[in-house]
Amino acid sequence: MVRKTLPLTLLLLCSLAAEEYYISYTLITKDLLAVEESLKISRAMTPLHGRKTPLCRFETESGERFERWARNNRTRLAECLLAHTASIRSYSRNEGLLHEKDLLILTTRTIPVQVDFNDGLVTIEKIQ
Amino acid sequence: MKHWSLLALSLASVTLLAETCPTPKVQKAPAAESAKASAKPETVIETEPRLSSVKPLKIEEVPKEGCDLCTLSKNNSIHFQVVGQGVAPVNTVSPAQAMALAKRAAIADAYRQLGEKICGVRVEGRDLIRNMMISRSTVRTQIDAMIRNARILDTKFKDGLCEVEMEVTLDGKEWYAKLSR
Repeated sequence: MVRKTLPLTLLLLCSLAAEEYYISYTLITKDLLAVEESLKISRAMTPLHGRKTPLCRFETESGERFERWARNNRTRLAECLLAHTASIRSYSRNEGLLHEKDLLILTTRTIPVQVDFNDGLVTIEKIQ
Repeated sequence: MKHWSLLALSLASVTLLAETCPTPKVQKAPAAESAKASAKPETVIETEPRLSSVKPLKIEEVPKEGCDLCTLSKNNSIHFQVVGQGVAPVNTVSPAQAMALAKRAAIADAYRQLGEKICGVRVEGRDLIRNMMISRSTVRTQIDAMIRNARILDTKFKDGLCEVEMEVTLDGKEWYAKLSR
């Protein structure tokens, strides 16, 4: 009986250990220079329900908190989020055949995600 | 007797006049030319108009394969590939940070290029004219796009410049209806 229920219990525990967050990312470049970057993470205050779509999966060494992991692996996380959906706004100005200003704002919408730390893997799933 | 003498005198004067008056020299034209000149222009009546003999121009058809590759339809997909460039800033804490920031900028540039190709560019031009002369000419471009499922293929660093190769595939089944609005 115990053998039968153990995997189910472990699976249930794993799903309970998963945390839910809201993530957004913004990158501003001026004349091909990155001037501002922000990765905003906020833990969901209420449980999120919905269909889950896998976004990305990364290897990790220790089971640290997602906030810290995201701070250390900002590039990988940003690439994952941007590959999913990226919104671009670009403003360029040329005056008399000379290039003057170039402003580019790259953002991702704020999306709810579920993050699992399991067996040295970080799994990020989007909640729809 | 007088009559005879008068007649003889008049005849002599006529012959004298005929000898003294220079006769106009007429150059003899060649036989062919003279024949042409003398001949009347021919009037040809054509029974059928000449235009009927002109064949209509054939318009070359655009090869279907090329058209399929360049235009999105419900049944095909288009592949876009761009190379974005980013520059490493000078005032950074470490070279790693500079490289990371250059890569960020290169990614953003690649996304911008994809946005240009897929959603288009809004262009605004302004010319300021003073005293019949252009004193200022400004061109502003604006892009507002959303890209999904773009993939980074390759990243290169060289002399402070980062190049990111990126690709995206537009599937007509999903995007044709949205982009053709």
